[in-house]
Amino acid sequence: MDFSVILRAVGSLAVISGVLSVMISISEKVLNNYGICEIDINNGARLLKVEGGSTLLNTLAGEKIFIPSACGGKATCGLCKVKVLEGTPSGLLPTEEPYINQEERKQNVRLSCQVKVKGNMKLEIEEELFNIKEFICDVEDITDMTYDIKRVRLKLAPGETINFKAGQFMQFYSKPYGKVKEVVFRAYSISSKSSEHDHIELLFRLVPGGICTGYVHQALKVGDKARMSGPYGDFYLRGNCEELIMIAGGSGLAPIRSLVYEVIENNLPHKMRFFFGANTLKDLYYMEEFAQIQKDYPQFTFIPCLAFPEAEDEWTGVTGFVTVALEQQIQNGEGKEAYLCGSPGMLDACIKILKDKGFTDQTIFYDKFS
Amino acid sequence: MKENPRDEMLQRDMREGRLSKDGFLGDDDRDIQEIISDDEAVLATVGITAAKIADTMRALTQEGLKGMGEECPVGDYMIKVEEYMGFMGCPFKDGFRQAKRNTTIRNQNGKTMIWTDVNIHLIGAHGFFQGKGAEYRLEPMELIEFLELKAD
Amino acid sequence: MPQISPIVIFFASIITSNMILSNFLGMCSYLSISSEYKTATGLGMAVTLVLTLTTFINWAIYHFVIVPLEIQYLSYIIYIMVIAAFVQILEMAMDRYTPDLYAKLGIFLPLITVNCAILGVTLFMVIRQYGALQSLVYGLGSGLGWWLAINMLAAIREKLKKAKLPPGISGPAISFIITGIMAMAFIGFSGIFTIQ
Repeated sequence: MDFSVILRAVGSLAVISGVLSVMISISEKVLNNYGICEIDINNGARLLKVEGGSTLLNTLAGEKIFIPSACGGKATCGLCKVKVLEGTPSGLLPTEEPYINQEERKQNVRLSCQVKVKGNMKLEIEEELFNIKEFICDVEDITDMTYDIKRVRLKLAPGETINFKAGQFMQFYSKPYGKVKEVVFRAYSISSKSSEHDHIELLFRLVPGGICTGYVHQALKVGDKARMSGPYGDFYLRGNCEELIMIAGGSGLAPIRSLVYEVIENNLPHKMRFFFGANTLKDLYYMEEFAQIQKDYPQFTFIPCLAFPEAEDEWTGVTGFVTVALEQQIQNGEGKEAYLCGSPGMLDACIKILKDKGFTDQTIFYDKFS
Repeated sequence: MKENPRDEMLQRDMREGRLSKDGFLGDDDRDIQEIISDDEAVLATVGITAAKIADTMRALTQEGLKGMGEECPVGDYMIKVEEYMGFMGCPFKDGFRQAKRNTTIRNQNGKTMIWTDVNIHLIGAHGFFQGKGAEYRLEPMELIEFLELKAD
Repeated sequence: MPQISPIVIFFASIITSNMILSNFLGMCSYLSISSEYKTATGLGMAVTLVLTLTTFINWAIYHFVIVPLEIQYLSYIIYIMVIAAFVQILEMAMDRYTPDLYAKLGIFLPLITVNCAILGVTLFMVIRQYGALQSLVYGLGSGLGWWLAINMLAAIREKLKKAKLPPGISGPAISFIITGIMAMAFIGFSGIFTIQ
């Protein structure tokens, strides 16, 4: 075979593949480079200059603006909604469609985990999201409150402080452990006092199959670093009333504990009644602490309700569901606000009773996380 | 055979540690469409649809809610429905989102089954009973027998 | 260059020389992505787009590069490289300028690179010595034909979901049978025009 034939074959292949790769890299430079994009949030309240090309959720997180999201950008939770007023040429993507209703479509609401930053944008987000920060904390203490609830006390980095309203929640990030290869984050209410600015306490009830609670119950140790962001949520004390009716079940006690401390530490005049529902004695916790508060502050009444006490428990408190206690002990909704936190089934049952008693949507506040 | 990239994404989200700790597939290496169609074939032999099974399950869970977290009798069953804070989305990304809820149900022979609301949704909307070895895999025949379903 | 009107080539490649139903090319994605009508439509669109453009580009490469350099024996490698590179660039361009379309087609584009119908059309185009316009039309027609076939199969399979099949033949087996029957039905068109 002629040497020149081989040379020509190799040469032409090399040239052609070279030309093709140059074309690909040029188009990558041209097409994938969105340059510096300007993001205008809330009509000039914040102006960001960011590198384009990434999703809006991640881009904003890079600028320390944390949009709440529970699935971490997999388009399964539908929480990370923002209003995109300008800057997306496209309509809704197929992945967004199930989560955006007709009303929201008209207002240009999009899922920020699906929309990419491809040019200058104008957004509208809730003002409070600006206050959300990210914290890297030390795990100072982990205590078993019941057989399936753990309290984790976290110390903020030196010099860092957190300002939250009692009742708000944090997003807690897990780390890879066991079979779980990635970081997930979930929402947990803060159970510590809002006057404590360098510590935070969260309650974790083990959820079967739960990634994040599984992490806390199985892998997290004292001395570990933990990442979280917050505070989020509009579940906090309004106080336009004389008496606060508080109702909680399970780990729903967390925000209520914080609320109770907010009232007594600020010497607020409100009377408080706290109905805490549990099924069996082993589900009850923080009993001594609330009994002590009741002793020290006459304005506070603690009413633990046990649905199924055993004979040997020697239970002297209310027997039956929380709903029964509510039915008996609350006459009407006049001058009262209700604060609820617990499982959806319990909430629905309690809200129904409260509404029958004259409470309205304006005087019932609840945290359902869903 | 080549895989539909959308299924590939789904397959990834269903593995352990993505949306739930142990995933929806267990140690099943069939792909999702195959799992669905295999179970469908099983259902076809007895003439009962996945939708019917899901409706029955949903009705039982709804009844069981009255127990407020403790066992309560519903017909011939003892049902316990436990609710947790936080919610779970559907891996098929269809907008379904529901608080985490586990139903533990026991029949008179002492046989117990456990399902979640996501289970019910997956069976009803997608005919998906989850992969073999998955924590919440429900065997269609076992379910039919347990729920005493008859073909119409 | 054969003296066939581009219009004849266009319709012939859709109906009588259908890529799937008469050449059985591109079967792989045809079988696996045809369980849903909606996704089949997405893939069909993507195949049509890529087929039309790559056939034309490969025509140009053949006539302006391969023939002058006398490297016909390397043509297969070159076609594949061109198709792969082109799909890459197309994907990036779509992501940038038509995010809607990208969301619909984007995930199917990488699949198409290795679809043998794409290479098949290029090779037929070379063997049959088509001119520029003929190649373009041939690519478009073949793509539409492929799209038609996968949509028909998907429509039938969606109906079949509600049917009771003997356990052994559900899945790919029944798809092959359906395809065979469709192919036979398409023989009925063969008298209208031929391009081979």
